[in-house]
Amino acid sequence: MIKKHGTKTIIFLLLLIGTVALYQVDAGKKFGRFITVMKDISIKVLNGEPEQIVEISDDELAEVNVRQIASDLEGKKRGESEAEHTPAAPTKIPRDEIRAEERPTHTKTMIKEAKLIDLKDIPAKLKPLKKYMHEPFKMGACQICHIPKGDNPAALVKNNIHEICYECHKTKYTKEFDHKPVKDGQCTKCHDPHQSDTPKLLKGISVNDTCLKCHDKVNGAKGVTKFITMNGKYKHKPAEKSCLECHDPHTSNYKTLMKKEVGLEFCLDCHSSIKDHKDMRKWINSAKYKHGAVDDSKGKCLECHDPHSSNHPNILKKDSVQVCLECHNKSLKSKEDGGTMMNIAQHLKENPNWHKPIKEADSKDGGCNACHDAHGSDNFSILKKSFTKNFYADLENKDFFCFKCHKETKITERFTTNSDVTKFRDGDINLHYLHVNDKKGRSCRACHDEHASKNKHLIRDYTDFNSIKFPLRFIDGPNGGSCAPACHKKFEYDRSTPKGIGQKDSK
Amino acid sequence: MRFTLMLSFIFSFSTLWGEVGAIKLITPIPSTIYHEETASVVVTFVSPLIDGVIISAESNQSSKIIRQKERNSYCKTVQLAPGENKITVSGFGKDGTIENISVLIFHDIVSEKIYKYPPEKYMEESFHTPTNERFCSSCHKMEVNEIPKIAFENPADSNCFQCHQKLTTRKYGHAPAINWLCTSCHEIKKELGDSKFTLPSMIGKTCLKCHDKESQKWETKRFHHMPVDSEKCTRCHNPHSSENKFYLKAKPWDICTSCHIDKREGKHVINTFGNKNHPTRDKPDPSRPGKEIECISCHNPHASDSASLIDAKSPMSICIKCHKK
Repeated sequence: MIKKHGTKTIIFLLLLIGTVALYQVDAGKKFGRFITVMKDISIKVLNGEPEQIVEISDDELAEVNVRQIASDLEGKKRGESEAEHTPAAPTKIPRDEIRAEERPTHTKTMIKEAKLIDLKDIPAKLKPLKKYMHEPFKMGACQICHIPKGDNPAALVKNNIHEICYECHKTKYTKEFDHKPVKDGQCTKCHDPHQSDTPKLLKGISVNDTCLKCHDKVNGAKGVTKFITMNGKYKHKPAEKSCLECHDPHTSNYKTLMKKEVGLEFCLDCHSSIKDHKDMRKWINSAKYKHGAVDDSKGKCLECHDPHSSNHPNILKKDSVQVCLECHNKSLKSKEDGGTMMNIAQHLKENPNWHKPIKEADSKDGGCNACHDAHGSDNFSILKKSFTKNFYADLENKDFFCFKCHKETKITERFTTNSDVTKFRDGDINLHYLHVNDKKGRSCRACHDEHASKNKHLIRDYTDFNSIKFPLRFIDGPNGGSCAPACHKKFEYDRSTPKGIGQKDSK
Repeated sequence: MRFTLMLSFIFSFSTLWGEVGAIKLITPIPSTIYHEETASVVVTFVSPLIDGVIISAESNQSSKIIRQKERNSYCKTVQLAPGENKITVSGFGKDGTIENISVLIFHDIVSEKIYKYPPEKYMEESFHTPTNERFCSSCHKMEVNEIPKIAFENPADSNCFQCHQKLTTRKYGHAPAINWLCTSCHEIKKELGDSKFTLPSMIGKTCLKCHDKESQKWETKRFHHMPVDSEKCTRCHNPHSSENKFYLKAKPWDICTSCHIDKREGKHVINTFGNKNHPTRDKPDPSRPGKEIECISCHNPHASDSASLIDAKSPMSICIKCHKK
């Protein structure tokens, strides 16, 4: 068969290779391009509307009849009465089509009477030229927007700038919430109509810079209601990257121009799959005890976190104690066991000696989150590790949660003269050992208040024993102290001259 | 019935001596049981002829109260001996004794069987009746001033402290008592004429309100000590304070042998080859260094899984605690 049609086959193959080769080189490209453009033009002629976007190259753009476009606009303007400047009725465009509409097309339909200004001749104040140029500007088609009027050579063709913009940029931003400049037709608030070094012809050096020109907490513009700062020590990465990661700059159906409805899921969409970061969705959903701020609040994540930046670790709105006290400044009902959670703010106010993590809220191991898991936990009081609720706790079952920071030797060394181990000594007898490290050992909370106290060493005023409050009557001394709790009579201890506590038991 | 008996009792004493009703004894209430070793004598002088009283008790203690100006009522604490105590209050005037009043009360103690169970005529009486309280309130603050569930910063602030402080002066103090949280155990009883600070009707239940962990432990055990099961905690323990550990009313050996009298005489466990009994006291306890052998060295006074309340898994394993190879 090959033998019989050998010559024909070879010729056909050669033709095929030739066509492919032509496509590879410029001639092929031009041919393809020609077909595309012709198709577009024919569609435009037939339907009056382009169906698909065709990118026009710079060379092609040079041939566009700008005068025609300008005179068209002028004609329309004359036709309208000057007083009525209501923007044209919004065209409802589905969300995903907006992007496509944002970049209008320039076609070769009317390329004849182009009166283009060479970019060399543009006014000096527009020089030097910048990286990104508005296409009419690039073309030197100043007439699209400007027309000399009286002594103003650069008067606008229409009084309202947005009407000029909407002439080509047909998308009207009319969702539930509009960005104020969009609503007011102040496109040039953010966009430079001529040129910019920033994509999208933004006036700022970046998207964020553009936004912050108005929305910065310190340098923001007057009349703006929503202020944020990106100058915090800790920044939300998407916010640092671009405001547009979460916001739509023009219009949105969600408050604060969010792309999606703000809620737990909005944040969790990212925060469940970030590398080297806990899967927050899993954490929040699987926690046995949930934090009301996460589970049952209006702002969800934003109750505590600033979505932009803050000077506090984990981009918290305030330091990691104050942020908690926003809610915990009153007695709250616990969902955990139906009990009442104490008014911590009041407790801290009344008791001047604070536990170190509370005192140094912004330090590495500081804040309420030193012990509590704000996102929920399997332990009561959303503690990071289980801690006994009881007065008594056997050593074997004793949780060493406190020993995350405090040294374990505090309770395990029976005799010591080292004040670094413990100062709660009578001579060399470790009174912590006596109290804690016994078969009827007591938990730390028997004597210490984990939050704050009026006394030194966070000694409680009252210890809770079977829901009765017994005073500890602790008195601090220069070299020891004394206690007269309900548990025993007044016992004194002294580190250098022992008073004889525990002598009998230890021998 | 009992009341009439009591009246006739007082009456019989009164008629023997001079004027009737010259003095009035508010307390002790005749034929009452006293669990603690002190009793308060409250006497009021009715007749202006009375110049003072002499209070004498069984314990040969007597004290004299001389009448002060514009004061008619006087209180005095007397020490009680175990068992029956006769408290005599004799009012005297210029010409000697005017009236004698005697009452019999019973102080029960746990370490001697004869003093353990008061004769039938003795009853537990409550002093804090509205009538008595009204009487005392001329000098004492009688209202309950404790904040429930919060102990006094200073115990002396309690209104109960002034009269009852003796109850808490012993070496080991029970927390609710020494912190004057009296109402955590003592209750107001309607049936006793709104008497305050009466003994709780269910002593065991009252104790286990706090000591519930202990009871949960006991419930899992096979054998229980009878007083534990019948919830008579105060049979052995003093709920206020004690000179003995665990607030025991006496030394453990004394308490145990007051019922288990046979153990008192020797023959305990086995007679050894030398015909010697196993010691039950006065010897060092090898299993508890620094302490002497007591009944509780081997027995659990509350509950155990082993017969005879041996405080080990099996009766034999208790021996190994001391008798090592």
